[in-house]
Amino acid sequence: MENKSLIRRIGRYFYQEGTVYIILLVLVIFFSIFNPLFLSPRNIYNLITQSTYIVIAGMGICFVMIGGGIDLSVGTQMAVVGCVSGIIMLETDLPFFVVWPVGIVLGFLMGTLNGIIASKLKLFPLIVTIATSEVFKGIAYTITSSKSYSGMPAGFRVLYKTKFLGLPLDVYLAVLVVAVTWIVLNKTHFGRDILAVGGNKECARLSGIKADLIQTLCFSLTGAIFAIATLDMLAQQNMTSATTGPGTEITCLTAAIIGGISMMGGKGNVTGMVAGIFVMQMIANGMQLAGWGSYTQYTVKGIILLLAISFDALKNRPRPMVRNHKENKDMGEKKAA
Amino acid sequence: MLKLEHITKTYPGVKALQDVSLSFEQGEVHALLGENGAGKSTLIKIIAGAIAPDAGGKLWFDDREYPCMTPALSAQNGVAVIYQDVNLVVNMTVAENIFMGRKMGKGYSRKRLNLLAQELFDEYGFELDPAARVISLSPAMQQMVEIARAISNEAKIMIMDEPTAPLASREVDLLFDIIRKLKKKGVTVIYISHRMEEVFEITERISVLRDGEYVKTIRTKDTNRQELVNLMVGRELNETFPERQNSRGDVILEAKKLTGNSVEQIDFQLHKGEILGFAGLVGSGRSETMELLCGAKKLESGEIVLRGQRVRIKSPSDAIRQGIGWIPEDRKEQGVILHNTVLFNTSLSCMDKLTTFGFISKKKNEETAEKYRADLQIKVPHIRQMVINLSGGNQQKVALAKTLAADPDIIIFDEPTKGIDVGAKQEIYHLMNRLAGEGKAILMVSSDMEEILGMSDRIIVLYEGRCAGELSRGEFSQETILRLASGMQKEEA
Repeated sequence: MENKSLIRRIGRYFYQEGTVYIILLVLVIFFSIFNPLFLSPRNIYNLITQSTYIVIAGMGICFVMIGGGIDLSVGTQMAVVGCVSGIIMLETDLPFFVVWPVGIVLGFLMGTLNGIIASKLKLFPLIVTIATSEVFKGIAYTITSSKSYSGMPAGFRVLYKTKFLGLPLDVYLAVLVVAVTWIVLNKTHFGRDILAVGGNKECARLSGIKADLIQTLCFSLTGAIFAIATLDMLAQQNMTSATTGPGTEITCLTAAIIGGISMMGGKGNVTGMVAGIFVMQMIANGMQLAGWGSYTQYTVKGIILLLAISFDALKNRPRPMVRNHKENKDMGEKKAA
Repeated sequence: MLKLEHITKTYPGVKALQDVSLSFEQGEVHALLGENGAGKSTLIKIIAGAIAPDAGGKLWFDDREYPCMTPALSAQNGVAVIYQDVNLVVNMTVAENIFMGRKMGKGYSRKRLNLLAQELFDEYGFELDPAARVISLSPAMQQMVEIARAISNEAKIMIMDEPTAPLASREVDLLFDIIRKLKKKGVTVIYISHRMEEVFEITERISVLRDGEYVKTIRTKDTNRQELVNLMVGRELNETFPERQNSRGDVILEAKKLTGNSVEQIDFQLHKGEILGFAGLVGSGRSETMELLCGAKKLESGEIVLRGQRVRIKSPSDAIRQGIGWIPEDRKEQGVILHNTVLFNTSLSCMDKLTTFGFISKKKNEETAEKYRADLQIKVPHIRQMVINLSGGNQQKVALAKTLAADPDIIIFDEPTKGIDVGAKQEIYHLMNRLAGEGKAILMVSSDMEEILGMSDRIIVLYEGRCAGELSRGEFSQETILRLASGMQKEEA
């Protein structure tokens, strides 16, 4: 009996929260059977180094989604931050330690704009960020005249070029960002406020939490963290244009949902998010090794997103018990609102 | 008319109903009584065909026998259920909602439907406008629309699940008139309510369920309140409301001409150690006044004087800092965060006390949660239990724990026992008394007449957003409150 309930508890954990780890494991087995190169040290190194900026970006998505919002403009925010920082570095001689804060502040401001519109005007974050996404896209194309910029200064690329214990510095940056995010969300006053606002904004407000402020700050932080991700990406890829960045939002969103961050907010953990990102990266990497073109990847990623949201909806559906009848309805109403 | 035989329903680990046999006669109003979790809802759902009972039970409609029902089958047999939360298309008119799915399309113009609906309303005495959009109606009126729809469907058995919960007392009278007319037409009404006075007023027979088991069916005129309570809880209750020493202290809060949020010129004083009740009909501005006090809504004019000093409360967080805690009426939407733990919820209003330099002290957090779990007797296996899995009474205690953890001097209870079973109600009452005894000042809004009479030291009655009068303990009576609440003077006969 005792034993059975333990197995059931473990089973339930994996069903409720740990699904992502199972998917990760299945993918590793799947790809390594099809291609022995998949588990080669070289490929693992690639997988890790190529994932750094996405991992950082994923932490940004954590804040906004756990805070009950969503931000679809992050991809074009990346384009704006990338282009502005790239142009500054190429056109002027400003050193990287000036470019970094400029980029981060820019991202912070774009996020804040989203946050203020969404919380003060009480609009759906989804619609707001679709609109601002177009605005940012226009800005990115305008300032670059749709040219691409490459050849970033060496000082800036140190982040990717310099290695410590065999790994580029930005890997440590990503680890740091993940650690800080985890601490903020789990151990601080601010993090708890975010979870409360994401869980039930009205209740949070009535409990004395400044809900509008917290929600806006979530968007701001997302913008700032995406700016960090962008600068890391720029150091890696050594080029930028108005089309570098857009698309990341879908990868991050999918990873978040696979990683157990609820679309309704108030739930989710950082480790799940990281695992979700590696699921997405492994699919891309594995398919590349298998020789499938990068266009097929769009289709596959889209299908995975569909599966992930279906599963998310399925497991959040209350089990068919009598007293859950009303709660089911409540949740439906919340979604509709 | 309708007979249930040996109905059992088992859920994994729980017996929701155990061998229940019951019969309902044509044209009777039959009350189902029982605490929350006694199995009333399960029974209704079985009759309505929403869930199937375990094998072995039988349902008889007249002389037709069924092992279980489906929603279609049950509608065919004339069963209609009026649930607490309405189920209407809010953007359509009253008449369209009533005739939806039956009288639609060719030959049924909006005008004709309105006429048909009006005929129905005249016959039963509904005060409804057939052309009004449902969205513009109050919850009470929406419920009336549901009842009208069931009538026009020629329902033979109408099940009403706590129909009076959203109603003000005048509307309750209206509902009872309708029920009486239904009875005359031979419709069986199965009436579920927590409010005893209503059960005595309207029903002929009462069946009591307890913990999923059928206890007894009695004629309403052969029984009394005490007996019913005993049957329901299976133990002797000393009195409905616990005794308390009046320990009234100094004035702590004074409201001067509060205006805004659809109330005007509200004046009152609140003393330490007293329970001040706010009575009035639904929409009279009781909760709205509380929202002003705790910063949820903006005050247009007027002053709040707290401990002798004028304060400005601009947000709920200001109110909490000033020592005003509020337990809102809508527990699930405003009181607690359902999809998180008891531990998390209890920390929400007192985060400043649990953190150093912005970091949460796990120890302090757990200590606080455990303290209130023990103190308020929140029945959870573990403080990391999700609040959504708790019963209504325990959810209310979690909301209370959250408020108390911020250490307020003034606690506002808005409908503290709404939808809570008898046992948990008693516990909440004891807690309120204990808090008052400790010198906290308590404001209580309640639509439950017994509760407001039984718990309050003084009562302020509101009518249409204004103070209609103040009653001290000696002047308490149901009649006086009702008179004031419907806009009459205290002394008018």
